[in-house]
Amino acid sequence: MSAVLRTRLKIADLTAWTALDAARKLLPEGQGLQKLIREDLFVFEPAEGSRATEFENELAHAIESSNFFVNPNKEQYRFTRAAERGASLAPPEGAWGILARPRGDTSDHGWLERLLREHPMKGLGAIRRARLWWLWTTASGADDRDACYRAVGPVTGSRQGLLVNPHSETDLRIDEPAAWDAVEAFLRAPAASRREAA
Amino acid sequence: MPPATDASVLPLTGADDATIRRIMADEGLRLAPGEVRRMLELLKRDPTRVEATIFDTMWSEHCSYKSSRWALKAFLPTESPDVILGPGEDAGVVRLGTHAGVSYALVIAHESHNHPSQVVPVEGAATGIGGIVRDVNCMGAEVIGVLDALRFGDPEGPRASGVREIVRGVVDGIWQYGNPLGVPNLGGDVFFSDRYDENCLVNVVALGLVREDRVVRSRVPEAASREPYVLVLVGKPTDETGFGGASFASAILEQDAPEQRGHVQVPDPFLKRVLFEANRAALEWLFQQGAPFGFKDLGAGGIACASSELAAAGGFGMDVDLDLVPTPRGEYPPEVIACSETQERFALVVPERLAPKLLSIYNEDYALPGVYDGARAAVIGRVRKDPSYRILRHGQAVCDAHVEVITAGIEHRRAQRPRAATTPAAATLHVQDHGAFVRRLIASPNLGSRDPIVRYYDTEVQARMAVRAGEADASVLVPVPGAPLGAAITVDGNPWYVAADPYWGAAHVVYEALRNLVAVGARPIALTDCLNFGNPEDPEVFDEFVRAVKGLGDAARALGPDGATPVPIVSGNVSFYNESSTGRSIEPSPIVAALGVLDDYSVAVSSGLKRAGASLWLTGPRQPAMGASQAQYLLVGEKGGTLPSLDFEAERRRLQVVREAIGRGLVLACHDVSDGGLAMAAIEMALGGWSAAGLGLELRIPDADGVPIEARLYGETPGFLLEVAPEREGEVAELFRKAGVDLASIGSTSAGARLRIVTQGSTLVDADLAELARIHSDAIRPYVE
Amino acid sequence: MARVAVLQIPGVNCEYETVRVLDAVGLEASIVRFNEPSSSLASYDAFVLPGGFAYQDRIRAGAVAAKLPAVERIAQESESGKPVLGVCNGAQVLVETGLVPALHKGAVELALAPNRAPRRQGYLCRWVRVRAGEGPGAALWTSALQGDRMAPLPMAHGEGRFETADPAVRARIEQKGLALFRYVDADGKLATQYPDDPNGAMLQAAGITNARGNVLALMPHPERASWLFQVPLDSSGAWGDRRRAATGSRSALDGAGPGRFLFESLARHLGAAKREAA
Repeated sequence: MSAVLRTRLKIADLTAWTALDAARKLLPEGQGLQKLIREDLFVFEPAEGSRATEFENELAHAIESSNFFVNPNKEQYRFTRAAERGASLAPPEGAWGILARPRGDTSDHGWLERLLREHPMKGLGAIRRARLWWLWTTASGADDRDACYRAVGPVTGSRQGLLVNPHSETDLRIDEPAAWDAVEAFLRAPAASRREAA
Repeated sequence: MPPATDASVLPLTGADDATIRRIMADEGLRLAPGEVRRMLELLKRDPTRVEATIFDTMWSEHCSYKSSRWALKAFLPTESPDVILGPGEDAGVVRLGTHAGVSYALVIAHESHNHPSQVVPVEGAATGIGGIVRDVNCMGAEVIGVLDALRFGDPEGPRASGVREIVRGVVDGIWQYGNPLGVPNLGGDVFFSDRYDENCLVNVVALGLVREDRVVRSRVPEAASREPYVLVLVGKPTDETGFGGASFASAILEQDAPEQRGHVQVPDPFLKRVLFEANRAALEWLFQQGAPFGFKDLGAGGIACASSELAAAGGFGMDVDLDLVPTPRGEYPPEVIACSETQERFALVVPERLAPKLLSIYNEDYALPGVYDGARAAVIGRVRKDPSYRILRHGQAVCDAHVEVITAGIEHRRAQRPRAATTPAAATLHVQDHGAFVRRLIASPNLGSRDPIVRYYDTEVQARMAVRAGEADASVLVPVPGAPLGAAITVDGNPWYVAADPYWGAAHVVYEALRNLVAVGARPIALTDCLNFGNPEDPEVFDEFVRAVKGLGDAARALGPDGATPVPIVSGNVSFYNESSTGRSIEPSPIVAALGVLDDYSVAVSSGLKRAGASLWLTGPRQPAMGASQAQYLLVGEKGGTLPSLDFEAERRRLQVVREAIGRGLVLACHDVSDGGLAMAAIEMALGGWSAAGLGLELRIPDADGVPIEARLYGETPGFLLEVAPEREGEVAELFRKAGVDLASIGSTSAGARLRIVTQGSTLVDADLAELARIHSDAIRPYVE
Repeated sequence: MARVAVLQIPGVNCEYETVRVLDAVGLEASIVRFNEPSSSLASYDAFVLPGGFAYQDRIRAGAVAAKLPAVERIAQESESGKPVLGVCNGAQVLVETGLVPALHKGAVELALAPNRAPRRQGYLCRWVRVRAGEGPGAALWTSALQGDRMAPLPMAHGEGRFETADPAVRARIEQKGLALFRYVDADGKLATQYPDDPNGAMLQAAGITNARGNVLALMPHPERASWLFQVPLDSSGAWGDRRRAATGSRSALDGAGPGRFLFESLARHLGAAKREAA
């Protein structure tokens, strides 16, 4: 069970602004996108045999007092201890999401090393990073979300997909609250190969 | 005309000091009671909040130079035949040369962004780069490079963790801005000292290229008396970011105060790149129209400062309508719109009849609103023929004063008191094992390779680079494609020298910068300075400041080409209050950039050894003094002491003859002797030669002439180390003899990939260059990667 | 004279030096803004997507630019065989449009992922060495490359690692010789270690073409190495020796650098193409 940090910009998020604009142009007839928000997700995994409680206090202090993860000049954040995070990662009201991670190891070893050098703490095994895209589609049926996902999710062709390149990233749909255990497993798992049409 | 009475007028007339301080604190302003009274004298009434904010900004140390202006004017030379525009506008302009019938000029500006970088290192450094490039661009120039001079605390000391975070943040800020902007990094200077633990320094320099007949001025042109001119604002929508930035930069840093973070501006190099391209097209079109115009970038004090200065410089007034200023959604107080330091904005004053097409270049051709939410060009004001300066909000004047009142300067005469001289007991500096010591030297933070930092910087964009800083003492560019003209640039400023002796230390700073130019074969044509000091209200700090300025000025005068013409200082900046809340001040840190020209860039040489069997020559006889040297610090932990002495005339001749030797093609490689002394210079030349062609060298130190071996190897007496081909030795010797400049044979190069230092009696160092390269290359890597 | 369009997307920053070298090899190069009518692109004989940070790399490098009508138009023009060169950010755009490797028309089969090197993340700027292979793109892009078919070039990027999730794509790129340029060490052998291999790209690929060979996505910057004076004085190898020997000679330093061959080859191809069309 990991501690979790979520950050998003509090100044204008031009990436989300452009993504919204570009996504709208890719959507099929009759489909609309009202809003799009981008978040960064950091999952702090305890080392084998350790618990998050061993490092959470020091980590919370590091997040608050230094610019290591969060630049308070431009970002807002929410740090949740493992015990407080609840059973699942839930989309904001009215939204559904795409959780995207690099296909390779999501654990940032260099960063962990630097963090521990500057803020020593026990029991932290890995820092995993991923990106969250939350989308508010105008139509809310399951078919509509699927159509939207096909249009603006993983890039398969020049006019198909936007937010994820499946050759460097892999993604998970978050339509309803997703169990944190499943989210963590997704972040840990080695990415599968893809086979396109032969 | 006094503005309509409203609640935002500050009741300061007749108030006592305590009341004034309370009102200032409530308003988040920093004017001292005496300054408030001076403002009241000028306005002849109470100020509105907007007016008080404008004065607060304009009279901050950062903007007004109130403590320093008299000294700069008194002591620094600013003119020479090469100077087209000296200090006064946003950047200095100097002649480069003529090619294919077109005369070109170089534009140079130098600024500091110290406080913001300490608090939010990434944004602080990034907006430092962002600001300095604007200063050059608004003169009508293409920005062709930036340099950064960085001062950090002790990366191994009690505040190591915080220092390293700042190192990484600042380096990130610099490359994250410069690389996307498409401006190459031309070099820099990194120095670690514990006095910077709580006050890092980030000084930035920008270089530009412009046609002499296309230099743009930052003032309303005289033609505005004959037809209506309007004020056009271009760029990012104005918001509250960076509100209070200039006066923040002029105050002592509070430890860990979170609200300081709001004062740091938000950089956007992408938008700046788009703006640079749009500016290029807009200026080209304006020149074709033949109508005079003014162009200024927005920095400290935002719209209010830029517009009032544009007006005052031209002898006009202006009306600015805040309702026309593009802002993000929401209501912003007038003082915020007028004074915030939102980044990535420029202002133009153009004939009203040209405004519609000008706006379309920005808004349609370059699609500002489409690439950046809310960005656009808009007319926000008009020029007045009378000298009235007004800012309007919802139809009411929130600022209304004579333009010269609003832009009136202010001066303070600070007290000076020399520091009680504490000459440290002359330490016996003895090195037992030179092989081990040399390894310590090259592993130390101040002498280790800067390559880990430089690998993050794009040094190649624009494809103008002929010689890179790092492989040589200065960068050399080919600014005009196809032309033989070369431009060389470097930045330096050893703070321990200045702390040891403010006058001579500052003179050394200038001399080092000039040596770095000459070492690549360039003719120095201009200097810039950024004077980073502690609290000017401390008489000892201010005394150091005045002495340092004198030292800079005297050296700039005396080390010019012929002893009569100075190397002029054409742009600069003063940064005071680099002191922590506990009163710990930085070392006095004047930082100097030097700009040079080559009529034929092809003669430029680097410092890496080029050939086996060549001879090595030293000019600049070694003195026993080792004060403020890196070796002294490593051996006995002392930063002070007696500096090597400078004989200006002798050094001036040395600069001339070295440049001539290089210009005649007599020199294979050249390196200036400075930090780390002769040994370090030799090591760096050997490392360059080894990585290029497997070369090495042997230094042969002649027997004692009264100067201890430690001083001869590691003392930092200025000089040059030259690699000369055997067939050229005679000519070189003759050249130096005629010039009356000393030259001593000091060793030779080899094909052996080894570094050897020998005396007549013994071998002091015999090391494998591959091993030395590893140590040197990894020295500061843990702080950066 | 053959005409080349250098597409200026908001945020690119290498367009001027790209035009300089195209002009130097006898082509008529123009900077074309992304929002000029895309029909105007039809009159050009070749296209270059220059380096930089198009749209600030929002979402992902090249992702937004890939959707531009101008890029779509260039894609159409490339179907008739017109050469398209994407350098660095331009290469990222080509990969995001599927123009490279285009094993299946319209499909996106590659990504340019963040650099991966032991203990060194993020943006990297350094000179590297590439060697040209003999795939379908060799004639068009390397006919002017002499000798050992190696060239030192500067790279400057944070996302230069060619990657695919489909092993069949990787296999076909390798078999067909579409990895036209690959990173090599000082001895000319395939680079196995950082920094000779600066980013961990699959197949040590520095540049990949489409199957036909007329579209090239190249990560290092040949326009920054087209004049001898641009070669660093500290470089080892033949080009370094040449650079050092040229000190004092403007005519030598103003001569061709190691990256010039790419543009010369393109010019020869276009000259030949124009002669054929005539």
